[in-house]
Amino acid sequence: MDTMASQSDPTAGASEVSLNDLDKQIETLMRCETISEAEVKGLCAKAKEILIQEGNVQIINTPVTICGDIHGQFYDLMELFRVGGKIPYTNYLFLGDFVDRGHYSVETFLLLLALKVRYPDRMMLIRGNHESRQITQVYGFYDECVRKYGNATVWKCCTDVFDCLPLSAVIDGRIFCVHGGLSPSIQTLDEIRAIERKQEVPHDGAMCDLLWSDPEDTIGWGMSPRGAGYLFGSDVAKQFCESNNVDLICRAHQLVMEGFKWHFNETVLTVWSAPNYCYRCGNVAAILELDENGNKDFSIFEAAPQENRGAPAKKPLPDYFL
Amino acid sequence: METEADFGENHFGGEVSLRRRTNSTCTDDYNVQRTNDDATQCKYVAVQMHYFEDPFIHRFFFNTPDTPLRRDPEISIGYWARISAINKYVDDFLLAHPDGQILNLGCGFDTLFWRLKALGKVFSKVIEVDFSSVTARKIRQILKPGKPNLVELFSQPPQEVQHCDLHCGDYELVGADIRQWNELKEKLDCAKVDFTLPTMVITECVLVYMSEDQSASLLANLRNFFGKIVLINYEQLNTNDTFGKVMQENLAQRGLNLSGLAPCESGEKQKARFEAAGFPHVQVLDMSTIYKTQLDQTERKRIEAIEHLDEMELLYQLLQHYGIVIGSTEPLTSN
Amino acid sequence: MAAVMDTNVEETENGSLYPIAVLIDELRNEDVQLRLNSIRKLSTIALALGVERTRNELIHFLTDTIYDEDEVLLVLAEQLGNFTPLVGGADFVHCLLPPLENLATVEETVVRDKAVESLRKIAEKHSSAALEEHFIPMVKRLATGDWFTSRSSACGLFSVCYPRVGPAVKAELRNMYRQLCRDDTPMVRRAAAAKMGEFAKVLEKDAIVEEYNQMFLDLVIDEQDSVRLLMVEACIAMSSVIPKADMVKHVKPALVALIEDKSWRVRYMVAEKFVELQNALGGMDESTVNELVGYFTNLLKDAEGEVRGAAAQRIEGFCKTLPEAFREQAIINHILPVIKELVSDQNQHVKGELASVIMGLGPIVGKQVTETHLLPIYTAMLRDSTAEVRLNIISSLEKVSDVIGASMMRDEVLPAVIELGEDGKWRVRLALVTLMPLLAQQLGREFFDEKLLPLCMTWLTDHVHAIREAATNTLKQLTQKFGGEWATRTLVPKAVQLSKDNNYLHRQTALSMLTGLSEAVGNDQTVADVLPIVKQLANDNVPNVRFNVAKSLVRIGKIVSPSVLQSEIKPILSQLGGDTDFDVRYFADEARTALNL
Repeated sequence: MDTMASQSDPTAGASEVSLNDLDKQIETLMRCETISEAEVKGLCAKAKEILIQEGNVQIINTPVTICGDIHGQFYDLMELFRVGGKIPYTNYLFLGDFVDRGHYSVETFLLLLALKVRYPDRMMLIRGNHESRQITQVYGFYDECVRKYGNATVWKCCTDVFDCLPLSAVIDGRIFCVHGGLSPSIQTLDEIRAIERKQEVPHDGAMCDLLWSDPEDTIGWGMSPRGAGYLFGSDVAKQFCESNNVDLICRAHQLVMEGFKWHFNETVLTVWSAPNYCYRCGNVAAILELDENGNKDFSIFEAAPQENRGAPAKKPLPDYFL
Repeated sequence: METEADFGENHFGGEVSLRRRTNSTCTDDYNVQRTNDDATQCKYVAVQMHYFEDPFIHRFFFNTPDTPLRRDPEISIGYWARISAINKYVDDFLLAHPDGQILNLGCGFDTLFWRLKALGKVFSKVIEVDFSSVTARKIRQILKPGKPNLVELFSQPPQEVQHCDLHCGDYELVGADIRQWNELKEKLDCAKVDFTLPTMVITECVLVYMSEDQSASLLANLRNFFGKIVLINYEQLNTNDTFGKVMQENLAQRGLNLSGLAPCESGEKQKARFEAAGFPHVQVLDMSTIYKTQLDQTERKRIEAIEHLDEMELLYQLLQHYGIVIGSTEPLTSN
Repeated sequence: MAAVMDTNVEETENGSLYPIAVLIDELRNEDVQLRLNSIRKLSTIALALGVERTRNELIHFLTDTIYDEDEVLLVLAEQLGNFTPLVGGADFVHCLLPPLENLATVEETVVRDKAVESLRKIAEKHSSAALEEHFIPMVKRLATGDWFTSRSSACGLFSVCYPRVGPAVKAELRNMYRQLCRDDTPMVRRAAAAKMGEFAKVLEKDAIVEEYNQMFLDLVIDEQDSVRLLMVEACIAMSSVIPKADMVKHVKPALVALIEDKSWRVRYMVAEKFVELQNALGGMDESTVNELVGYFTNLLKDAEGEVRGAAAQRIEGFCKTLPEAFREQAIINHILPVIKELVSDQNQHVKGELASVIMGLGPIVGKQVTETHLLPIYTAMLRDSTAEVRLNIISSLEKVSDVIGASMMRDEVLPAVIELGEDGKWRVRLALVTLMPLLAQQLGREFFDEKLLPLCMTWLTDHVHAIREAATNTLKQLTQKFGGEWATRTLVPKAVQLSKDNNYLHRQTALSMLTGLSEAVGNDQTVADVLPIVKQLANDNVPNVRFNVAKSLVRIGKIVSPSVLQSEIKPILSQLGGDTDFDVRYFADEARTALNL
């Protein structure tokens, strides 16, 4: 991955977090335990400093392993690390949707964030449509924060961090990575670079579309059933790749039962990394490993087995109609 | 990276002990009774979010302080679909049979009686049955002062027996284990059920918790004792896939053993068991079909917009795995 | 109640002040959370009030405030169990009975159970006189209450007060318990059945034989299976307290009825408790053994999968408990034929349960029987379509390593094991990776090199990181076993190859492999085989490889001689300490500190 001297050292800069403290926080979070509210505040302040220096289109080099949605499924994230290797052994790019729906959004997001702050050059995070104040109030992250900390301070800190996350990334200049997809208001990467990203995800417009759109077997643009973003067809993807001289658009955002899915003659790829999504869907998950020569290798994995999820009695359970 | 390889040790052992533990408690119906609390909470949340109206549900609701009051939108939408569908069948039935009675088996804290009264619907009686530990709690909630007053909608002042039965004229609430026909029949007699009246029986997520033999004999007994009967059975459907397997595992962890899941595997199997119990007319629809074709589509647009559910696949996957079976002695009008 | 509680401010020992009025307000607050909070600190409040006012005001107040939500009541029920010192000790403990009695009658099972638990706790704090004066009348009220909840709760209180009362009261209690066993409500009979075992333990022997048996037999044939299944445990408890002759006469027929019960849940319970039951029946003679074996194999062949699974789980325990004189014959003639059928059971969980215990049979039956009868079962299960079955067998293979000879292992087990090397489930592969040192021990180096080493090599480039990591650990252990020369010949070429791989993850595997290797072989070979490759990796293009070199050098540095540390390792770390990448510099500095360089 790129080495950006300015941000490689987490102890440099205005907010002080010692590496030792960070290592301890990571250790705690790795056990799926929360860190204190004060620690969250310090971590988020430092994270914002680091993230805001990154571009809307963050430049990344191989080797790197690309991961899709995680959605607070902490124990499945641990499974992902077992399969892909931990940080900093392996470099990672997470395509957003760290929170909501799963039962451990707090631990999941804070762990990913702590790893980002501890190893800024090994770990890249970009924004998903769930990294939003409005969406997290519907899908669980807000309630989880209030339940685990007794107030909304942690949620507020985290959502402020969301505003600083990059919107996309380009790997070796050849692979465009984004959470959702393309936007009719965006033709070039420079247009993405021009977006004022430090804000709540808007209801429409370029920034919204990047986080919300989906590919669809069609031509041109279509209305999205999601109520935000667009459906984009094969010609749109082809045009975008040619204009920006990239080979592939790599994105997440949509549940695919097999973990990954190619679209449009391998110009668009969906990667999904939340196995048994919502603890209910029965799908497998995938990560994409890119070596330093750009070779692609998918690893498929299933949800973590039961006893790796902590005490069963404490485990919250998915909803059904009872 | 040193300890990576140690993570996965002894994994089946955990699963086995979990399984053993849940099986040991499966005989305790407590967990099944607890499903009522979950259903009540889901309905309450959906009402709060204006998915549908129920001015009475809050009288039966208690929020455990540690449980957040939130459900994923597809759950609230699913409850909207379930309640709207059942309301529709009840309305149709009462329109055709103003002298009809409604028998709700495994009623939990359902508010159907009060909702019907508030809407001025005409019927002869609503009889509700559940485990006596559930009816005892329901009685406490009914008699507890509060608004709206639940007692004043009864045709007679409530008369409590043994803390688990409540007789109120046009409303009867009795405690019985519906797997034991003798016990159930005795309580129905106490509730002065008229077996000659046209009767709609409702079972929502009830049969799936009893063994196939038990539900078969319950269905056959109901069919034999009531002259004119329409039975509305809402429960799991099309469960013979990964989703069904995951559901069974998840519910087992709540100590819920779906011993009656076999007939839920397909519409054909549901149909077959109702026909075997003597119902001449049977119809099976999955909730996804009901959602898309049988319910008010203007309302559907409205409720889908409430929380802007964006992953519709999650909703459809859930709805496809639940369904309604209607078994009737009269020909069914197909829509 | 507020009238009796004035609004005075009390002073506690540590000087803090607690206004009673605040408590009452909180206990009446509309917000459940506030009520819960104040109930949780009830003992602090009682401490502040002092024992007298706690008795006279607080307990009275609590007795009347039980119409609260279940969650509040649950906490209250729990708190009251620890209140004895707060009301003034044994002389006054009975004042806690009224609120707990109320709580023992509520609808919510959890609250009721907690109240009973607390009542049991405070029963022992009562003096004998207070027990008869206060506790016993309460038990009677509960046992004859018109609400089933109160009668259910009563069942749990008999065993704690019975031993401490006079003969007349004892007779009365026994009589009352008999009534409860015949209660109209199944829930009450269930509670009576559940507590029967503990009650039996405190009953006089003749009382059991004369009176208790009838109620016992009533429950064994109860119409509700949920009552009957509780009697399995009661039977077991019973057999430990009554004379052998009475046991055979009274308990055994009951047990037999339960074993053959028409409800699978009852049979499930029997299967779960079968070893205890076997001990309870205690027969060592041939006819009893045959009888037991018959019942047990029936459970193994049960129509219900859950019952077969529970019975399968107990195969090892059952066989171990059989008297030695008849054990082998019983296993060969009766148990093994049934096990052979279970191997192809349609129910995955039954097979999983079987797989988790079947290896334990080997040591029980010895080498010959294992090789002739069990081995085919093991190899069949190693090829089972269910991953859990394969995993269970492979991860307990070590249990039979002593009873399966090397040649059998080689010819029979190994082919199936090798197939698992490429199993689709990575946890199965992982179990196999960790099994390698044991297999190497058994099969010897030559055979291992030929058959298993290639497999170990493929794991080094497995898709799953955890497998690669485990494989490097395994190779380290193998080096310890087979020696440095073996490692130089077999592992080093592989490490060289991996260190030049295109993928940085594989180069890091080489590094991890070499680090383990150096720990197994010591200074000289590390200098000769390991350091040249590590030096090359210290110049890798990918920073991750370079900082992992620094991390590895911490371990390698502890192996090599001080002179090598200075001449070879220090320069590498100095170079890495000036790297362009922050993480490389960081880990190089860490390594230098750790090695005092």
